[in-house]
Amino acid sequence: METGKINLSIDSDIRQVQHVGEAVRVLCSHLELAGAKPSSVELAVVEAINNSIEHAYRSESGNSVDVAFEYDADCLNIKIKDYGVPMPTSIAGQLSQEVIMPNGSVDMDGLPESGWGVQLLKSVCDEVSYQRIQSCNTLSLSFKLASVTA
Amino acid sequence: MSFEVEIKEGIAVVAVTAGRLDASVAPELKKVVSNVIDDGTSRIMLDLQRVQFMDSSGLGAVISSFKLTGQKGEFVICNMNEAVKEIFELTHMDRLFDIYPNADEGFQKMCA
Repeated sequence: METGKINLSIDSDIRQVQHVGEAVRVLCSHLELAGAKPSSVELAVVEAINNSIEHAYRSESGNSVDVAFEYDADCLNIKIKDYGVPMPTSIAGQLSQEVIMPNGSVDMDGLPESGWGVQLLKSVCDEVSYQRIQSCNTLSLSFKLASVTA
Repeated sequence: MSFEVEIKEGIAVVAVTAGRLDASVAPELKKVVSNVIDDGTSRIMLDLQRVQFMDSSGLGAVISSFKLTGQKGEFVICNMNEAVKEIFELTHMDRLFDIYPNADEGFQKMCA
């Protein structure tokens, strides 16, 4: 099984995010990472970058968001790094909580219009974790890869 | 413009013409739906035929659009591709919204 590392970097401009998303989808398709659905990996990376831009950089462009891929036979690990303010505790706390989605009897008018990003991240990734070291925020996403047998 | 609006028999068909309903486009959807309602149409069908990718911001804009139509209005969605359908399934929104496989079925249901 091929192993590898790929790094991408974009400006903290929400209009730039789609380019990374599309690159991620193509990359996953090209590498044929069994078990990592390209559309799910794209969704996770886009949500993570959106989070960096909206919260760490408060939607201001001119800052850097770095995306690092590392894969081997067992796992695809993606780290999204920014250098803005720490992730709000309300969001970081959700990372360690169980995902609870609304059921069919919920009042539609009471549905939240935001806050779905972390829930989606947790739904599509096998593991999600957050670290702040010095002035760097790192959101780590992990996808277990299925072993391919001949 | 990332959207087209057509009024047919009192129903506003809002078609997303962008391939992605994401954070860069989502605020525009809310404005378009708000304008449609201000112009007197609160029965809305959102056509996602050309949308290949949706994120949580897009989902939030869809929820917001639904809320704007109010209790007297109507809001249905049609033409989801597999990736968009997955977002609705993961969040259980597929259980809450009226979703049709194509515009014709959605339109017929709204006119029934």
